Amino acid sequence: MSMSRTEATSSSRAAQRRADRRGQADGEAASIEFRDLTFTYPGTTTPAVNGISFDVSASSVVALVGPSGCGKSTMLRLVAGLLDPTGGQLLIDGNDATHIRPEHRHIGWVPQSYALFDHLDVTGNISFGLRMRKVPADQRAERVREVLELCRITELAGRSVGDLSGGQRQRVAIARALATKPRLLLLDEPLAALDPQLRRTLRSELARLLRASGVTSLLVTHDQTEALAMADRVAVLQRGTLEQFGSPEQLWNTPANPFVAEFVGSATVVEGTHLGNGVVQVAPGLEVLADGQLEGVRRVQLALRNTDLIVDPDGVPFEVQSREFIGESWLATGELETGAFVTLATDATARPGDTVKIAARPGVQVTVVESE
Amino acid sequence: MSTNILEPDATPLEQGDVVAVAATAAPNDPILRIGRWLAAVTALICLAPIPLVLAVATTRVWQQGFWAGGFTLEWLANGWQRIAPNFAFSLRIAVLVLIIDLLIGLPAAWLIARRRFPGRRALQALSTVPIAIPGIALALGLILAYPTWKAGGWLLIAGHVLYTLPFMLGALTPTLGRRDLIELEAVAATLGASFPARLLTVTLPQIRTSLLAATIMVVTLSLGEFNVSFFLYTVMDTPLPVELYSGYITMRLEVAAATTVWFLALVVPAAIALERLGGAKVGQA
Repeated sequence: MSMSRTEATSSSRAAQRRADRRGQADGEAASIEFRDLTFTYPGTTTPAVNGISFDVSASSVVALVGPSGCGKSTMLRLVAGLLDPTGGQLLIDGNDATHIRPEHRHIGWVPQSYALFDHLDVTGNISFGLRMRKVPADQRAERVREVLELCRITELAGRSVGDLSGGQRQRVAIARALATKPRLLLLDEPLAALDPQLRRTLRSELARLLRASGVTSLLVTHDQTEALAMADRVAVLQRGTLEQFGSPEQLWNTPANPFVAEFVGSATVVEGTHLGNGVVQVAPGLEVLADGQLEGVRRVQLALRNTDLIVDPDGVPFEVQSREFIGESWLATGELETGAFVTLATDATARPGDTVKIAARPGVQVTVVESE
Repeated sequence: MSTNILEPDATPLEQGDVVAVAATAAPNDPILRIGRWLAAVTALICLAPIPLVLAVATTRVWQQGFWAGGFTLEWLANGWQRIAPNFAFSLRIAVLVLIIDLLIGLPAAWLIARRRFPGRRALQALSTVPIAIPGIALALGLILAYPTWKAGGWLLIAGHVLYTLPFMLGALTPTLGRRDLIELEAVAATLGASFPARLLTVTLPQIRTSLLAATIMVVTLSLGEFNVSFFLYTVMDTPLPVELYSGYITMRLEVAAATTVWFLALVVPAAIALERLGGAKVGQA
């Protein structure tokens, strides 16, 4: 059973004091170590976070991705100290921070709603943490000016937060979190509240900002594109457990299991038969070249991406069951003879109910997820 | 009835295509019209006595009809002289009741809204009991339980606190339970704010509208409360509503009407302020 806050030992209080001193002394980026971290919400039996372990190095940007309810926001709240773990350990810079109160952790948290204080103006919001840490007024003003510049929102200084657009609110929230020079920056779906056009623009701006600040950042997103674009490392979660932790390239090229391949790699996992020399048959007449050593392997699971198949008059029949317009082309989904559903890019002529012929794109090597 | 609005150059629809449609609400809903009329008639019935009382209070001899014997402000002046001490007394009681309500109500509302503890629902239900109990029963219960308190006026204050506290809790509990407020406090905590600092710099400024609404409500209810006051007051100090009642029993109608006009003049602005703050907003901000 975990130690409650009221039962916090003197050693953890000493750790709090050390954390305070470090926080006041500087804002150097911290490393994080998750050691079998577990959390179960009161009144439930299934853990929302179940025995998660991985390390985050200082100054890196790590994305936590997964579908709704996978425990990624809970993870962030555990790091922030807003929830008390029911098991495991959280180390910040090698020190036990498992039960340290949020006000003593010296972290910056940007919730999905941004949670700006609407009774304060932009400057009031940004200087809030500095006031709480009793930073002298002249240093406060200087630091506010610095983060306004860093976040490129100097012109918003005196504005009421009620007058800000979604993108401006996001930057003010990040500026507020960065003002105290936190050791960790926690961002919960920072782009989710923005419209799609703005999201794309602000994604690169946010990536720039995180690099420029040099702070260790944990970023929660349900959008794998955001995670792959912005993070040095990505943790993929499903139902409270860690499916894979690695670089975006590792996750894309060598997914640990079908879930990672489908969720992160936007792939459809299909079963196939290895015919030899890396050639895998996924349906009668539809053969693809697998990426990897398959000697002695008979059955394989492949991560088939939208770009791996093409419309080919010499290919196998494929009945279009649904389609969606993605701008430059249409994505058609249909069923192969084996019963597997695959998706590929088509032109506007292939409508639901039509049968088109498909084949593997020449030269493509398809990722192997599992083999036996 | 719904309408499909298509662009002139849009692709013709074919079988199997999916289109989005929207329906708009009928602007002249008959139920809405009836509702408006009912609201107007109700407002008329409720507000009609006010100009009548004003007319009585400014008529020299009311028995002879509207402004018989001429228009006068004499009764109003006389009425104010009569009720001024009672108003001052009732105001003192209301302020004391407010302070006690805030001291008990704010922490109680916070606990009910934020903490899950055994008996929480029972406490919540218990806090609304005084609303359901008739004022007479409440007053008699207090007299029987604490007979020695009556002489000092403390029983009157206790009665008013019991009567008004549920309204204070009703205004503050939903506000303090707002998810966005909890998130603001969480952000403040991560920025280094301790619990007292969060309370002063985030919670109280964020709930100021509800707090103001609750304040006006408690003061207005206390000023106008009759049932409990009638049983618990002492002859040394008579609350304003009891004095109004006494006026209608013992004085000529014009003076009684004048005291009512003053009472309304004191209480109605508070009620309007409450409405302006938005009955609907109580619980939001």
